Amino acid sequence: MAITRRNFLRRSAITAVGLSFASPLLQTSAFGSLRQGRGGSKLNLSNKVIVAVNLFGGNDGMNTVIPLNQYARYYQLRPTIHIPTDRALVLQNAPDYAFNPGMTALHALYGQGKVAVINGVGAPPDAYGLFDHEASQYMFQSSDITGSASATVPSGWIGRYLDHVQEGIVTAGVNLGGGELLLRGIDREALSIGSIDQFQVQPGFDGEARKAAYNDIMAIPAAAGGVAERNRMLRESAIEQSAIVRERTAGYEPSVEYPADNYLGDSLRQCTQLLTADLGVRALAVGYDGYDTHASQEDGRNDTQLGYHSVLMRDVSDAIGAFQADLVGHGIAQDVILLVFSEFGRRPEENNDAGTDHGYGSVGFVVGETVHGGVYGEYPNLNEDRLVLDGNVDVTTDFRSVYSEVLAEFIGTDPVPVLGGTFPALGFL
Amino acid sequence: MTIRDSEADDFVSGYDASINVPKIIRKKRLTTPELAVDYLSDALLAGPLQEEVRSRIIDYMDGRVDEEKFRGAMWLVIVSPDFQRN
Repeated sequence: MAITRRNFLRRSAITAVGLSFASPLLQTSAFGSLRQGRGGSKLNLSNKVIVAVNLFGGNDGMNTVIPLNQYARYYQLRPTIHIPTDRALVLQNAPDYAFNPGMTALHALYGQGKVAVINGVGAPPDAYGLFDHEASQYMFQSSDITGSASATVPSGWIGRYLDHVQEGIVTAGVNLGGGELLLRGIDREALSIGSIDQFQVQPGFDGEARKAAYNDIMAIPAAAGGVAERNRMLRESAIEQSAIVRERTAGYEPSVEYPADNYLGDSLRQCTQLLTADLGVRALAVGYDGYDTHASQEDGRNDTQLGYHSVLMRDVSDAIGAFQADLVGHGIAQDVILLVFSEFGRRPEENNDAGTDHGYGSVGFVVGETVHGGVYGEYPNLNEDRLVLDGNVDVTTDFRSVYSEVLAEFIGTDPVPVLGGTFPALGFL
Repeated sequence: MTIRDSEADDFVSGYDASINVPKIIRKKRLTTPELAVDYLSDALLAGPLQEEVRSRIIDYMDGRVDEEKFRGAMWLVIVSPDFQRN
């Protein structure tokens, strides 16, 4: 291949999707509008922080929260992959429901009144892109159910709120793999990084010499007012910010031990690291993948071991348990709320591969010191005549109700400008 | 910005990729860092490289025109603010 500008740009265009935080080279995704927002009113000066946990792939709500009060029907639908009653973790004061056996840490938090279980969460039946991963992720991250904004410049629901918060040392939104769109505002970009450690220029080969040259080149002003100079200044800003972030977060010591070999735990530990550094971060997005369980959903399960999906739920639960304890240990738990969501649920019946296919209604969680623990929303009726959209578990709670309540009751801001409408509160805050 | 930097790293780091650097150096007779940087500037930029930037990349090459320095210079050209200009 010849070295040409065209070849480079064409190659970039082919592989650009999903690269924003994938490369170990320069993990400074988007400082785009840092300190350059259109201004506007600063509606909220609180220190409240939203942490979004995005379960990529479409989490199976029925094997996450087991409907003990419909167990015969549940068992009938899932003769192979059902969670046995003797292993399910029955909810205190809500014996109709039980958590997946992997979710011991979240179960303990539920017992302490710090977990709201949101049953039947999902999008309205006329929403654009149901059952499609990309369209549904777009919907959950943006809160736009029409898909119309995806053709222009989409923004995320948290990002639109962040447009109005007081600016800190770094961007108010930091994405650690939970979805950049979620935190992208209309006026401001979010920062997407793979990890705090990687948030710096890290050339691979000939690293030191190349990095030194890079830094020198970035210090050479280009023509004032031009694109090159703007680009240079953005890069310079990113380099400067990365140094501040690493310096300010260096002294962090976890107050608890995070679970080993747990990617989400590592991400949430870094969330605490950023929050304790007091950089002005007001929202974080983290993610965990592997929920597209079309086959072998409970593979590996025996009398003592958890199956595949249950291990995923254990990882999520253990990570959240440690995160919550760490927040308490650092005295900032009152200011943080954590949401767990996925782009859709799974079909009620297992398929021929001992898995479940793309579905509709699912389950979500809201975790925090300020949460009124309990079960919210009606668990969808699994009877055949109550299934919808070609035999799917119904949605009984519009996902935007959860967002709306978090904005109104936890953040203390008007959710209407952010979400474009009003949605009934569930009462978990 | 970052996507381009990431792509630039991929573009220049792939020793198994289809860019045959030794062949280019030989074929284009890039015997000095100056010739190599000017070649890369012509190939990759829609406009001229700022003189100061050019000098710094030449300094980076430290008198060597081998595969490592050539690929490093290529990366520096792509991530330079001048690349953004057109």
